[in-house]
Amino acid sequence: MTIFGSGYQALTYEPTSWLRRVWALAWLEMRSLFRTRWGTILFLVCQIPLIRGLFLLTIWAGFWSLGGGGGLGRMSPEFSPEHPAFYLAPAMSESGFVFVLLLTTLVSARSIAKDRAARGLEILWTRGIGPGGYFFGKWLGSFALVGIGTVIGPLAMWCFAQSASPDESFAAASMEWLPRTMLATLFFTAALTGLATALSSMARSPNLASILWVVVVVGASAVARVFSRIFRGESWVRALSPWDAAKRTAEEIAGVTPRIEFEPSVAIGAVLVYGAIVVAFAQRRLRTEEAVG
Amino acid sequence: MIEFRGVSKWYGQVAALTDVSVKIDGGIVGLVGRNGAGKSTMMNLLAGLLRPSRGEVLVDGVEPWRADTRRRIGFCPDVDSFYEDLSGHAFVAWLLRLHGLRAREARELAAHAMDRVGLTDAMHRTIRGYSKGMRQRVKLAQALARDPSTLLLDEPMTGLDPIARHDITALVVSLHEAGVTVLVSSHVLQELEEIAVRVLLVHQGRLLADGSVHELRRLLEDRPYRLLIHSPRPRDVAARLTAVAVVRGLTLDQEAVEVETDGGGDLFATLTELGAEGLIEEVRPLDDDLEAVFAYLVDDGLLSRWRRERDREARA
Repeated sequence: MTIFGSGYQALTYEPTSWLRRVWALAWLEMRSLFRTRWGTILFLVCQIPLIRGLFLLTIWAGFWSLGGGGGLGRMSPEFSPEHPAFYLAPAMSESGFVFVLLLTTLVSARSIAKDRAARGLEILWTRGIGPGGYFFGKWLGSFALVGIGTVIGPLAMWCFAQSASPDESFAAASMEWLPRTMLATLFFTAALTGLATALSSMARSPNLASILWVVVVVGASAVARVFSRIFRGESWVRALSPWDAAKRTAEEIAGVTPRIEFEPSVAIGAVLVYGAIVVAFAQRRLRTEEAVG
Repeated sequence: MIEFRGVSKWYGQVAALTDVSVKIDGGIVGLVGRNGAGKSTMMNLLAGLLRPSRGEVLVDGVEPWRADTRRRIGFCPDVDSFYEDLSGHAFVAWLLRLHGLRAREARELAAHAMDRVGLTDAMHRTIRGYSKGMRQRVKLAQALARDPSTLLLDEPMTGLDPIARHDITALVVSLHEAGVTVLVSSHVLQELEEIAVRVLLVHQGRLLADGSVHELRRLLEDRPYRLLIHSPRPRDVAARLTAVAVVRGLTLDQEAVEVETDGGGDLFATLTELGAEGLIEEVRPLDDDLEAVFAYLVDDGLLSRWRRERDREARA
């Protein structure tokens, strides 16, 4: 009797791309929040900055149709669709901070820790996907989910603004800063979700990973603020906060006026150092548990 | 085909496996040992999750951590490695997608694997609601979902009810008949007796014995063991048992008699008589678990004697 005689179905194996396997992992991760009603509600709550931006756009569309609207833009760049800060706000404004932190805490920071807690890492690594691919897939999934509000949403807002604008001048003017703005928000989302995912690999439980992430972001920001008052004029102090460092780097990419002024080179260096540290830790943690058994 | 060639594995200063050499050409092979003996390390090496510190591990002649070998190995770990909020079917399909299969193909194969382990009716329920036995079956389904030539089952019977155990046993036997090499680890010898024709005994990271279940069972038949006999009149029972030649010792308390014996027909004939007279409420073996078996085999030096005899027979 052949193996197929016992009920097996023949599989035709073809070499498949690594990316397809990683995407299967990322796709599952991306949908993880939507598998429960509360998860879906939380996701929608985290889109409040985006919804606020869309609401402002409808007001702007009204002004444009009436042939005005410039006055509001002079109030704050964050309220003007003619300014890149408007599209960075869902990720990098004060209110954006709360919701992006909440989303990364619920998705990125828990992503690997929950698999570790279920002791599910080994079974995944027998699937032809190594620790590197596993990490990439987990990060990609949470990046895509967070990016709905911070990258896809702002891009959609721009498209809406473009369609509502009265003439070609908006498109012509915005094309000068839009690619850099999108690159900045892409970088910011990628850096934060990457850091959170790497931190997730260090914790033994998803709850501990969430707490660790919040402590790192909020705690480091608080420490950076206190130290910046003590060491006045020392720009490196603000880079103690990974959030501030990523934000300053993104602002530099977008070419907008920074909210907190410190050297962009320090910010970029800090992001690279934090990235290297957490990836080194993640590499040590993402391997088969070596225990006599 | 599975082969270990002089394999050692160290975790820092701790030796998990020491110079293990064994070749498994096929069939169902049991891997037994106490907790911490090195069974899981052997399984992890075969699943390609670990690499040996020294020596070679081969599955079908190729190192198991290579991508083309991995698809030929079905691994059923001892832990409940699940996404609780996925259905059993979605979980198996998703694991197949990690192999690079397309979504539709993965769904079809997952449904087929769930059917093979008898979970068709429950396959669309979330794993959170599954019983321990159902979880074991899902683990088995994910290992079977591809067409592995080698199946590694780490404690597959844990938590199964007798019917599920029977079904899984039948499934494993049918896989063996279909040409799949099955390595089953367990610390309960009786589980393996039902399915494995050959057992590997691992102790403190070394391969202590490699032989048929019957040889091991024959060896165990001669070992002394203890029985606990509950009786309404334990003194009368003890008095009758002192006359039985194979009884080596008796310990008496108010409700029971503990008997140390070499076994044999006389004892069981006497126990039958006592039972017929209403003097026995319950007879319970005290040391039929693997710990006791190991204590007997390892500590009394019987394994080394057994090995010497086997070597002598082989030379002859």
